[in-house]
Amino acid sequence: MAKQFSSVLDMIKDSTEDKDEVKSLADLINSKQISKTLFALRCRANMSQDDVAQKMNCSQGKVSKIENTRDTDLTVHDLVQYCSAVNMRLEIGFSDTRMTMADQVKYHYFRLRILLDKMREMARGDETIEKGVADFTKEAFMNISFGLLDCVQKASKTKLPVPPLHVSTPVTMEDINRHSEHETNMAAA
Amino acid sequence: MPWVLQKSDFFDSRFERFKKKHREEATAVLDNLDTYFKALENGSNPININAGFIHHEPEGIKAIDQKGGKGKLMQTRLYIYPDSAAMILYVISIGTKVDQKGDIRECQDYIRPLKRKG
Repeated sequence: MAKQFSSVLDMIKDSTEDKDEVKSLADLINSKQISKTLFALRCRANMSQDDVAQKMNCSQGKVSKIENTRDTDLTVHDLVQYCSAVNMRLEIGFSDTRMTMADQVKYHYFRLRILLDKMREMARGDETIEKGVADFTKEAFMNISFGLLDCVQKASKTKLPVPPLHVSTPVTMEDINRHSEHETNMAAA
Repeated sequence: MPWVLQKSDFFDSRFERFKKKHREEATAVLDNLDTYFKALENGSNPININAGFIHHEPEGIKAIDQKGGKGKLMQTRLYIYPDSAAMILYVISIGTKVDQKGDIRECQDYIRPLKRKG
């Protein structure tokens, strides 16, 4: 079977041994991550550069330029306008550089809870929507649980050496009471 | 299933020969190929991927050119074929615009057996 590649860069690494050539291509590609994403969004929305230009109230040439601009030269204004034209909302995120992947998983867990709580709050007072939110929450619970179960199964395939002795943190009744109190407060909120 | 790239068996030799004379052009077309591939990865249908650097050739073949590259560059064509069913982007050949007639014919010969297989 012929070799397949998941990126253009990987493909070129296979074609040449010239490291400078690969590096200059990598630098160029990495400098345009945002504009390449904008291009992909426009194509996915089945829009032409003219369509976007009309919505942005600018020329087609300007749209073409945005799609080929290095990220450092893009303005937030252009990004907002372009995203809006392709029915997307620009989101800007800030994250602590010390954040590990495990921290990100925890962060998403908390975000998920906040969103579900917000949804429940918005539905309050309308029986139909309340039921819809309850059903959705159950469905999300099932999907997330199955997804996580799959991750657990995959993770447990890589067996780590089990040390002959493990000293666990002592668990006291106070700890257990504190945890259940916290859960009760969360549920009440 | 994600999209993947697959080179023709003669792509490397064409690419090697081409970049000896036109290094800047080769970098520019590969950058545009990356843009095209990322659009596929993001769920775009190949028929909806349109830009000044993409030329639609017969039998579903696309030619990616050097537009957007720095300086005055030679007109270049990188020939590709997106197979939506198999989610494979075939990277077939590269050449100058002068040689495009012969290059397209060669690309057609390359993709016909693939189409029959699919």
